[in-house]
Amino acid sequence: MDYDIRFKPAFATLFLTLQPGETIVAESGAMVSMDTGLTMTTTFDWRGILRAFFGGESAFLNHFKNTSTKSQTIVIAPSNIGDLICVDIDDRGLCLQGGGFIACTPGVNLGLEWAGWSSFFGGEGLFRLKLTGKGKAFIGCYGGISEQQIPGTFVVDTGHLVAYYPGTKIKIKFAGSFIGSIKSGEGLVMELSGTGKIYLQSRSVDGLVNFLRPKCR
Amino acid sequence: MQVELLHSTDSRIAKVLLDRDEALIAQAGCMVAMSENIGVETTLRQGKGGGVLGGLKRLLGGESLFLSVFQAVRSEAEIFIAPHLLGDILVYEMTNQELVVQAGSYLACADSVDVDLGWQGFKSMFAGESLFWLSISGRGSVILNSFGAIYEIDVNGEYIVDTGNIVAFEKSLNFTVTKPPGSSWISTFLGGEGFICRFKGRGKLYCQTHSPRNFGLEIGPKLPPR
Repeated sequence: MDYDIRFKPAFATLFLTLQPGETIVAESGAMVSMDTGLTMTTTFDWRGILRAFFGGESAFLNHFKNTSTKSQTIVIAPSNIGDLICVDIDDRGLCLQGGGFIACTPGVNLGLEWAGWSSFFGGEGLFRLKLTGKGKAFIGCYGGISEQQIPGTFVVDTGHLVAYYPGTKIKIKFAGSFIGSIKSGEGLVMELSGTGKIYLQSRSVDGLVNFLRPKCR
Repeated sequence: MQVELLHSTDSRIAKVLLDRDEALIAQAGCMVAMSENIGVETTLRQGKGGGVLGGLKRLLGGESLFLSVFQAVRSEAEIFIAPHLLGDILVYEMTNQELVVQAGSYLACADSVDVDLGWQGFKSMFAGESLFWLSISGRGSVILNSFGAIYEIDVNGEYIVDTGNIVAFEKSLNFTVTKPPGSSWISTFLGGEGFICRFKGRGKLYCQTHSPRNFGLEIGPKLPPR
């Protein structure tokens, strides 16, 4: 499997080449175009229902398999405007914000994990998506994506966290004092503690929605 | 007429250089800036794809009723045109072949290019945002726009594109609206792919990486009802 991410960062799109017998698993509706030697099967399991209800993802996943004898290409794009990165999934696993999953190799499992009440109040939902297994995952976001190595504790505004390693603990707090965080407009923030890498998006969908809402008349 | 594309794929703008008496026909409202030696008129156009009927047909094709004509009064006239949404621009040279353009993707063309409403059959009802497509013929440059970046596929045989991601294709290609290979009708709808277009033949196909419909579905449900 070879891949190339083109049109970064605003319209980042995945151009994948699959050798005979290889498969890529993609988020529902993410396929843009492909060669005719690929066949699509749609899978669904009980975790899919949970993912749809609590994880902000579709209940269904599409598997594209190269059933021909030549290499075949497929183009996969997120519905959001933003960047796309490839992350290697190993024993550590990776936690994802809802909607961040775009595609993965078949060795990666999409699970769901209890995220806690603090995640819920931070606007991230009671459950979080967790990738386990071994392989590559493609993660999409709204805006640009930055990797940050966190040194113990680190503060992130709600709506900007895309992915983090499961060892990271999340607490919700006010950005400063109660009055101060209301005045500054920062409101609630997430305090992460751990030593792993985190992935941040440069814009938040809530920011766009809040900008558009008063204009819908 | 020379067309130069500026900026990256997400904020593309076309800078068009016109010689004396050359004219650019453009979608209403897409002019961003221009030099003072250009005369502006509004037209329904005459001839093929023109007149009141042509204008009404354009409306059906998702374009504006009236078109703007930018005619250079002296040489070295320049005009900047851009679409409203974020996205890419494609310049395609017409040399008497035919190009089929998805409704809403047409931005501008040289006045030697004919733009007419094309009928691709009832299958196009499932193949995009509009039942009607634009059929472009003649000679000269055509400027198309997209939401998302545009990439070119040189089809030789068969190729599959999701409906809603087609910008334009050469008339030498034929398409059928169907389901992805290997899937059943139930699974393709549950899996969110729905209909796809299967192209056959030999020619160039232009696709957009993102679809305004999918982005709208992402953001729309979070907004209050009108």
